[in-house]
Amino acid sequence: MQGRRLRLIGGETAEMPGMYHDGDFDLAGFAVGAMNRGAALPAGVGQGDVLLGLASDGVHSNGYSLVRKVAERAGLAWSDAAPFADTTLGEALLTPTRLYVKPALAAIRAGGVHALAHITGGGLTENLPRVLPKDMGADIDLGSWPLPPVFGWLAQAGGIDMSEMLKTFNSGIGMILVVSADRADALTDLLAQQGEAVHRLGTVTPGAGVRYSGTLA
Amino acid sequence: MTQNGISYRDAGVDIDAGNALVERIKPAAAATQRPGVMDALGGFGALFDLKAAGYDDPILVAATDGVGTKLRIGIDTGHLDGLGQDLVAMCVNDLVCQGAEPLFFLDYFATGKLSVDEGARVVEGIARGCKAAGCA
Repeated sequence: MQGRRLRLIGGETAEMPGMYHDGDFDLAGFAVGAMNRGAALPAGVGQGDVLLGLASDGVHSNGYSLVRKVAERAGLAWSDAAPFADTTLGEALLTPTRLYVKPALAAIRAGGVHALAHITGGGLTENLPRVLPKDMGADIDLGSWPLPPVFGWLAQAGGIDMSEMLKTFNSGIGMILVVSADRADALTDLLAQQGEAVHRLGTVTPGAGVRYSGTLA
Repeated sequence: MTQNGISYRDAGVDIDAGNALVERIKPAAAATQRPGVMDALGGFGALFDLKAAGYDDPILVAATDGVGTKLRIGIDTGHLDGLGQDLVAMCVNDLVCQGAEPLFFLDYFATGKLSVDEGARVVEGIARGCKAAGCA
């Protein structure tokens, strides 16, 4: 279908004196999408399904209360140089959340995608189980993707342990596709062609919860 | 104007600024046009024709989200241009997890004192985010 895109169809601007501090504002967004009947996901997730992780573009939009605490503890202002990048700390932390719509829909249309998990608040630990059957979980090798420098800095400067990192931040993986094992290679290629950095994180296994092996580095 | 009377503007709400913001963001919103959209900005509600978008037997999926305290860094540093993509991504990345194609987006911008320029930069960022999210 041609001309497919998302439309900003309306909005509300509320000026509310006395409700916010000077110069502050808040934002909310509402999106509506559609699919043909019978196309809803998750569908068909089974043991042995492969987990394909798509790289994130930094911290995205979750965990910032902890991020701000770490910066405060490190004695850094937003205008200071980021210890992990060639920009100011503020600019480095404001990298926009990656949009996964185009590659995700391309993968879904290609076939073999059983579920997708957007890694938001709660990290991999809490978001992946949301799309798995109740009696299934996942085995994930933490060495299967490189930990982006921003997360290494957060862990070190904040003294945040690995378990806390994995349930607070995306830790380098912004979206996980749960795919049929026999489609994993083809979908990896397709997603890479779409410009994604794809990492094979592990598989769906019996028993609820996410089981990690290896270490984040 | 009565000498002792007070206006809405005196109470801190500037309708003119609100209208100026709407005018300023119209081109950015219009640039996100797609099949199915039935009306222009400024109506009481937004209409969408699912058949025109190619759906005969659709299931709708809706999601809402914010940007959290990342806003604090954006406001403190004055870097507002990327927050719109954050807002769009947080919502539409959730929609694709259900297998849905994102169709339309609405935003809510709340502030104590409206700055037309800041508001426009944020909403223009949202419009850019919508375009970038497009799956043409």
